[in-house]
Amino acid sequence: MDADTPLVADCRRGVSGAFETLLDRYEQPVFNVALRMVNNMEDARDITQSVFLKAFEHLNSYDSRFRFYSWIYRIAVNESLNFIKKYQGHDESLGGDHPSPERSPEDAASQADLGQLIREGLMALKSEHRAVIVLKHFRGFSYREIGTILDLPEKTVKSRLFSARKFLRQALCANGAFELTDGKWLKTSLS
Amino acid sequence: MAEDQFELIHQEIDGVNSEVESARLREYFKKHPDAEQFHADLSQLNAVLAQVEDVPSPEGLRQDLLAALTAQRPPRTDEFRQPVRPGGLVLRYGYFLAAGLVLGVAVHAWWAGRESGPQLPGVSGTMAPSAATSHVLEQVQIAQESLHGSVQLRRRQSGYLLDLQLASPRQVDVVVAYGAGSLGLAGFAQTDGGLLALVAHEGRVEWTHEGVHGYTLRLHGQAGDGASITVGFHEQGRRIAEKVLHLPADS
Repeated sequence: MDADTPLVADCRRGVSGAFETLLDRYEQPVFNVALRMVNNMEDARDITQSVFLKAFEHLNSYDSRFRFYSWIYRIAVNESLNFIKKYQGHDESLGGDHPSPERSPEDAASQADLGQLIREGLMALKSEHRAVIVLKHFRGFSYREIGTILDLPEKTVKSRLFSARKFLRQALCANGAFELTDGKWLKTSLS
Repeated sequence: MAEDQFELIHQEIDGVNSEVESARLREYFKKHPDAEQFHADLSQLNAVLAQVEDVPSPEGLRQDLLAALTAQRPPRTDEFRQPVRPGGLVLRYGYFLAAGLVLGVAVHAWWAGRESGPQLPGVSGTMAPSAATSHVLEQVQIAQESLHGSVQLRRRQSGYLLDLQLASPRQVDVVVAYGAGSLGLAGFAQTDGGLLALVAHEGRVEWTHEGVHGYTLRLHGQAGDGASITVGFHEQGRRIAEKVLHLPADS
């Protein structure tokens, strides 16, 4: 039984504070999934809100044989994909990065560059490729977990992820994050 | 590069190869430097992606969510239903309509404060100066015997903001119709921090106003040519005012 199961059960029984605890756990991860998918703070905020409202609304239909995080991330990815589909061509850039306050200015600047370049690279990918990169590299899910979240066979996840990496690498080279010098792939803007 | 080796390289990056598979790959690299270079490239990509940190959630998102969830919790019937008014009720606040999208949304003042228009005297709350990029498209005034205020339409990057500043001593039902096209409701706020039951249908939202309050609706998407937003005000089932705000044809 995963740590979310009792909380979900409490939510269903209407126990005060249970959903708030789930919110504490998943607000930032869900927001970041949405942000990587749509590359816009306001849109990611809207998507995050929609994800939790839907999760809350459909909590009774959640199948407890699956892990809660699979379910919430599935909603997050689907909401992001729906948003992208609905507002295709909508391309607002993110207004700056949001480094955590503990970092030095140099680190923060470096992180801002890094975040921005990666986001730009991600936006060059098809949304289905972006989703597997986000789940694998930014959330650390296994092939199987990604398959559960995206409702895909593990083999398809691998194939999609491997293609996505190839395209992301190309995109990062194209946007100047990396360059090929003497056959070596060197970081330029990133330190 | 063979498909098998390609897969093994990716799996090596992900740390899921067995000892035997890793050893096989190392042997393969000895004869295929291009494959080794590819592995190095992917390792570097992996390392770079690992450096990217999560962005903190926007300030106030949690509060907004909790407020919205509070409003979405099914309330007791007698609290939720509006009193039936004589003369027939045009606006039906019954439970979730079968054909319509039903949403209970209420958001704390903080959210609205980020993207709100000018504050009416007497509207309490925490409306901060607008930090978002938006510009006013149209503003209309309301001056009825029992209802005063304004409706302002603003354009933002990904849609529209509709600000309503209303003052009425009696209950007024407000209906905002934005069509069932590509515009969708993305957010709603009562700017003085109150919690409000809002009923959202496809292309239309309704709520009951009383007193002095400001409201902000956030609409997502692009409107088609000739599209408009109609804001109707009803008192005891009788329409007392209606304002039509036109969306720019080039949006």
